[in-house]
Amino acid sequence: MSRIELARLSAEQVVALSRQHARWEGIRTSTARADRAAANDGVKAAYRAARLAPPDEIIWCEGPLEVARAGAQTGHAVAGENVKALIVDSVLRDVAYAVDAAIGSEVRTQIAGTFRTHPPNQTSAAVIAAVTLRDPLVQERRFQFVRQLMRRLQGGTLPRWMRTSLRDSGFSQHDAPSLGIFQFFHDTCGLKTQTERLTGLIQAATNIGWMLPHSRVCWLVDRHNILRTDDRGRLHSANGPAIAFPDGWSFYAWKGVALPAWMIERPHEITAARIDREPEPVVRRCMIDIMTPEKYIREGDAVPIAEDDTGILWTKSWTTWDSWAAVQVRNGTAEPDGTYRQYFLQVPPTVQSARQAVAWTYGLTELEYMALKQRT
Amino acid sequence: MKELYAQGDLLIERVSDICGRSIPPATDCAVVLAEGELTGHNHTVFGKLSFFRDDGLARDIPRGLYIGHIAIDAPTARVTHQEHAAIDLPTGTYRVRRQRELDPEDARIVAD
Repeated sequence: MSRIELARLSAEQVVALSRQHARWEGIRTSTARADRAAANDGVKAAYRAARLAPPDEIIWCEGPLEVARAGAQTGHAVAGENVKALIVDSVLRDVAYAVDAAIGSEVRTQIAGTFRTHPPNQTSAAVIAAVTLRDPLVQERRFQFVRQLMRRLQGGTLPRWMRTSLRDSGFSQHDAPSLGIFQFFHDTCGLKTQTERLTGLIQAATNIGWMLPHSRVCWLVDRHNILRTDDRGRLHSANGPAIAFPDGWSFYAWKGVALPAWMIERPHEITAARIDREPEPVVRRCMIDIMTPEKYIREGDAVPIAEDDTGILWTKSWTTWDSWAAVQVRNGTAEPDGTYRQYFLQVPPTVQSARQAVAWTYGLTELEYMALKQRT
Repeated sequence: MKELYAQGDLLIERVSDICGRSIPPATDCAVVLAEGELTGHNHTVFGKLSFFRDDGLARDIPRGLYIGHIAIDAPTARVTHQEHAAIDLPTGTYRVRRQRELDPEDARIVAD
């Protein structure tokens, strides 16, 4: 006898699926204050669903810095082993297996396009990396040489077990959307028996920023209160941090590249000389981007290497393998005062002429760009 | 021979071949092709036309630049922008793309 309980989704269920997806995508990037009471209840239920006793203590923290300090103070012996594999991964696997046995192949096709887990969400991957791959206690130190010294001498100040827990065994609002499909089956499709064990985790996941579940202590972290991205979903903020938590932990980024805070907070301190001294090529380009290529060309020693009727090609070489280029072009339409506005576009340093550079900006070859009939 | 029209950061390319794809019926309309995030200025095409997207017809365009196709069913359709002179496009089908700039992240590839 077939065990399939859901052969295909009805039109109403498809609409509900899309609503549920939107709701979980909202949870992913939410900066609203967490509902601590609801999260506490959810955590206890999640432990029970994994056949574990609820933690002796649930400790709330306002961000990565506070959770690192709290973890360092508590100690591994008191906290117990990390149980994320039991309360999240194992339960999720069991529920997925049960649901898979209860749905028809047509349902699998219907849900495949909505709740995608691959490729991973770019913003979430960047936030998780920013929060977990650095030691918050080292990151908070003010002077860079102290930070570097701490890294060399101790590999950070966070105990190793806590670092592992944060990096590999936490669960965050950015992981939470993987639960959305099961809430949909639970709430909308009547697959309650199959998904019941996840309801506690779902309740917790919708009300936290981060969770570090250990057998006797569970640390819960508020949501980030700032999360800024550009239109491509990359961490980016031209004024202030791209990510911040209520405890003061913050992370600065420009078009997806992590930067020291001063470059964003005090962009006027970026000079051509500082750009030339910066050893990291990607950071150097961010500095030029923030300063603007126009100002960098004016103040630095970039040189014009080619000119034609499309514009002027400027380049700057720092080493034999690291060069930068920008093309200076003129607007096709005059300003009301009769002048023409100039603007600068950064292009690959491999281009040889201004025309080739402009053609590249449109994804064309120099020859293809010769077909330009009108430019305004 | 290609025919290209550039209005600021927008490039419009006349195409003859759309590989037998069916084109939606043209209507008198205004379609915003691209909008400036900071300025709010936009490139808008006015006329009897249809706008459609078909990624299969844009495989040769670098990722993220393709905006869509416009099929003009009138002697001309006008593309306007607040800071650029208008362009009158004659009857035909066009492929529209935006301009790009090298990103700081791309320096990883260049420097390598």
